Amino acid sequence: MIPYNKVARLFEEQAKDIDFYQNSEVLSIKASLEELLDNNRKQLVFLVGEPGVGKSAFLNNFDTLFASKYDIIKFDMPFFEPVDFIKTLILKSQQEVKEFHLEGLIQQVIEIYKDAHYIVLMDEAQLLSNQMIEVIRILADSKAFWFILAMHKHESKKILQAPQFATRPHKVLELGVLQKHEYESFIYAQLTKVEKQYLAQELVDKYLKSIYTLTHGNFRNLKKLLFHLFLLLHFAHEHKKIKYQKLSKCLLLMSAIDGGIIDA
Amino acid sequence: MLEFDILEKKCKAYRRKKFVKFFSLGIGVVSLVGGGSYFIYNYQAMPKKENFVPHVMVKAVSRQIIKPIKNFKKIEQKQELKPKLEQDIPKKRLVKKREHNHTVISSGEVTLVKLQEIFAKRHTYDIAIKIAKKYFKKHNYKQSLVWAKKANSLNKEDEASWMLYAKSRYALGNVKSAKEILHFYLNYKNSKKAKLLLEKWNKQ
Repeated sequence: MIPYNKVARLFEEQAKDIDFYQNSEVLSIKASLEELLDNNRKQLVFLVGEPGVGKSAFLNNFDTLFASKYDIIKFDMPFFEPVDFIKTLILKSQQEVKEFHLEGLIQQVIEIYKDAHYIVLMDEAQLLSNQMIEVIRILADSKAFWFILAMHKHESKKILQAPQFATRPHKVLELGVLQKHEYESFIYAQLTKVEKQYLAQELVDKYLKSIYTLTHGNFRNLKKLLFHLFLLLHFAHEHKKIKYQKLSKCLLLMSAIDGGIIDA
Repeated sequence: MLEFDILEKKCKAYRRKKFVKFFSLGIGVVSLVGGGSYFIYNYQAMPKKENFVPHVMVKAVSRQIIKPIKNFKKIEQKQELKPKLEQDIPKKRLVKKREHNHTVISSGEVTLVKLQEIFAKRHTYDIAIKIAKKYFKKHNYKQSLVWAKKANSLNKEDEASWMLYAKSRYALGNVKSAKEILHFYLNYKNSKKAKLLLEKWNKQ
C-alpha cells in the first residue's frame, strides 16, 4: 500500500509528476491565443489572473500546449536592467553582442529577430521596472516580437494604464478560477495514478463542496490543501491518532490552516 | 507542518469563531427583522399626527373634563369625613373611594392650565378642542374662539371645531361672520348640526 506521504507528493507545488491540468479556462485562453498569433500582427498580450490560477503553469507548458508550433523565449522573472534583457535576447540567437550602449543593442536585437516569429513569454510582469516597460514598448513597436506578459490581476491595472502600453495595440486575456467539476476530474486524475480511487471517490462525494469553499477555485490552493491533507493523514496513521485516520471536515480545515489558506 | 495538537486546537478555535460569527449574524438579522416589523406594525397602528394623543394622556384629561366637578363644596365636606368612614368601610370599597378622590382633587382652573401645559408640549386637536370647549363653558368666548381656531388648524375634518368657532363668533356678537363660517362649512361638508344651528340663528 502506498503511504499517504507519497500521495501528498503528487500535489506538491512544482511537482514533476503532476501533469499540466488543462481546465476549461486554459483551453479557452489557448484558443484565443492561437487565433491571435495566427491572424494578427505582432503585439503585446497580457495574461492576467489571480495568484495561483495557473498563469505560470500555462507559460511553463506553452510549448507542450501548442505542440511546439511557435518559437518561444521564456523568462521566469523580469529583468531590472534593460541592457541585460537585450543581451540575453541576442545571446539566445547564438550571436555575439556587438554593441555597448542600449540604443545599439536594441537595433541589433531588432535586426536579428525582425524576420523570425518569436514569442517572448515573461512571467511576473507586475515586477517590470519603468525602464523595462519602455524597452518592451520599443521592441513591440518594432514588430520584432510577440510579447506575452503574465501578471497578477490586481496589479495589472497599473501596468496596463502605463502610457507606453495603454496607447498601443494590445490584448488582455484573463485566466479564471477552476470550476467545481474540474476539481473532481483533477482529484480523480491524480489519485488514480497511485491507485487511491476510493479516496478520490470519498473526497468528491462528501467533501468537494468544503474543498471548493476553502480554496475558492484557486488551483494552487487546491494542490496545497490536498498536499497538507495527505501529510496529516500520514501523521495520524503513524502516531495512532484514530480520530484523524479518516477524511473529515475537521481534517480538511486543519489542512487549510496548515497550508496557510485560511487564518485561524 | 505545524504540530498536530496545535492544528487541532486552531481548528476548534476557528470553528468556534465561525459559529459565533454566524450566530451573532443570525441574531442580528432576527432582531432587525423583528424590530422592523414591530416598527411597521406600530407605525401603521399609530393615529395621524393631528389626532394623536397618547392613550394615557387622553384618559387622564378626559376623566377630568368629561366629569365636570359639580357641588365642589359637598365633595370637600365628604373628604373631611373620609378618615372616619375609612375605619368602617371594607378594604375593597376603600380602593374605589380613592379612585373617586383622584377626580375630586382636580378643579376646573387647574384642568385648564394643565391642558394648556399639555398642549404646549404636544400640539394636538383633541387637547385644543377641549380647551376651547372649557373656555366656551366659562363664557370666555374670546379664548374659546382662539382655541377653536387652533383646533381647526390642526384638524379641519372634525365638525366640533367649526361649530365652536362659529358659536364663539356668534356669542361675541359677530352674527354675520358666524353664519358665514357655517355656510362655508356646509359647502365643505353636509353637517346636520351645522344646518340646525344655522336654521336656529336665521329664525332669531
